[in-house]
This record gives sequence, structure tokens and C-alpha cells, in this order.
Amino acid sequence: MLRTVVLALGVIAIAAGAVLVAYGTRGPGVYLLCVGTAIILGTAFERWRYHKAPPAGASWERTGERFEDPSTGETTEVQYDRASGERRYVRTGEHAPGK
Amino acid sequence: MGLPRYRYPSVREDPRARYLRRSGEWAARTWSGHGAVRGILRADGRIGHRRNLGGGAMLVVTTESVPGYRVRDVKGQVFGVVVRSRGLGGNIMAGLRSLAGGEITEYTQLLEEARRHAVDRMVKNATLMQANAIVMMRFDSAEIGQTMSEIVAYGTAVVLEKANG
Repeated sequence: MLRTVVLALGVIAIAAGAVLVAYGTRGPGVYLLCVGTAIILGTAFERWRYHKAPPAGASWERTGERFEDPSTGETTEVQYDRASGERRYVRTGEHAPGK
Repeated sequence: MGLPRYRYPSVREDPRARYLRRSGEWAARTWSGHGAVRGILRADGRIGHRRNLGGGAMLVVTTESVPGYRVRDVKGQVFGVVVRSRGLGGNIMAGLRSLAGGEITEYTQLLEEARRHAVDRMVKNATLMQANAIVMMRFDSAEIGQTMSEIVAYGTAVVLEKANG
């Protein structure tokens, strides 16, 4: 929801900038165009999620480490590949009690 | 699931046994009925395998000692550091959310991802050091440039083995 609001703000800024440029107010118009574009690109291509490709031929084993993912509320399990030392996070599909 | 129990001869019993220095720890090679056996030299003179020492995957604890285990070798300090940012869109959303108060989920997610990333790096570094556990693990955090968060996970990489008795 909030993401949509921010994207809408970006679109409004671009539209206002385009109108200002069209009516000859070039400085503020270009500024609004740049700000609107930055907001839209920064929101649409935001990569906050930490994810990495698993190593080829990994042999995953459970570590017993489990926690509740704060963004989804799902129980997440940690697995470990002994050969590479990589860890991965697997959603179990369960929800913590009270969720 | 552990490896089968070893019935290999001790280095003290096998005249063909050879000591090997491998990555800062003593290993040895002995011969069994199935051929040469190489592995970590245990205190009793027999050959062990690293998999048997920790009893599972890389153990990460915040305590100095682990019940039922003793530290056989200290590999040194190990760390994982990461700096992450939520990005322009996330920061705007967090700013708007802070107007109303409550939990700022964008930054909660940022710190959760940073925590995972830092721990993963620390565990990988400990694996490279041939440790099977990290004790006294701690987190430290700092802010860089107001929009970036730095998380450091650090501890002491050790080799644990089951305590006798």
C-alpha cells in the first residue's frame, strides 16, 4: 500500500515537472522530473531482500536454527552446506503461534 | 547421522604411521585393512574425522563453552561484516511510516537481512579456517551516512570435540 503511494508521488512529480517544462518554467520542471524519476526507479528496483545463488552440488543439512521471519511471519529454517560453508534460509510454511 | 566408528590402528601401534602437518593442526596417516587412512590426529592417537568433532553443522553460540564439548583447537577470531541500505524507495516509505509511529517494518527488514548476511559471512570464514564452531559470538552495529547500516558478527573460531565422560 505504502509502496503504491510512493510510486504515485513519483508519477505526480513527473507529471508536474512535465507541465512546468511545457509552460516554460524549465528549472523547477526539470528538477521535479528528476526527483520523480528517481523516486520511481528507487522504489520499483529496490533490492532490499538478501538472496544469493546456492553453490552447485550443495548438500544441505539442517542446523536446528529456526526463527520467525519478521517480514512474512513464517517460520524460517537455516540449512548449511558443509563443503562450501554456505547457509540458506528455507521457509517451512509454518506460522509461529499467535500469528 | 555420524560416520561409522573407527577401528583404525593408533599411530602408536602402527609402525608405518606418518604424522602430517595440515593447516595448522596435526593429522596422521595410518593403515587399516582397507588401505591408508588420513585424518585428524586425536588425543588418543587414533585418526578422527572433523565431522565427528562438532556433531553437526557449524555451531554458533554466544557462550564461552559448550556443555558436553571441549575446545581442542582455537583457530582465532572470525568475523562477517556487511553494510546494507534500504534504498531510496524504502527510505521514503520508512519516512512516511515514521510520521504515524509504530514499527518501521522497512528498517526491521533491513536489519534482519543484514544480520543474516553478516552471520553467513562469518560462518563461511570459520569454515575456511577449518573450525567446526564459533564461540562467544557477538554482533556490533553502526550507521554510515544516515541511510546505510553496518552489521558485524564476530566470535572465536574453534574446533570442538566431545568431552570424555
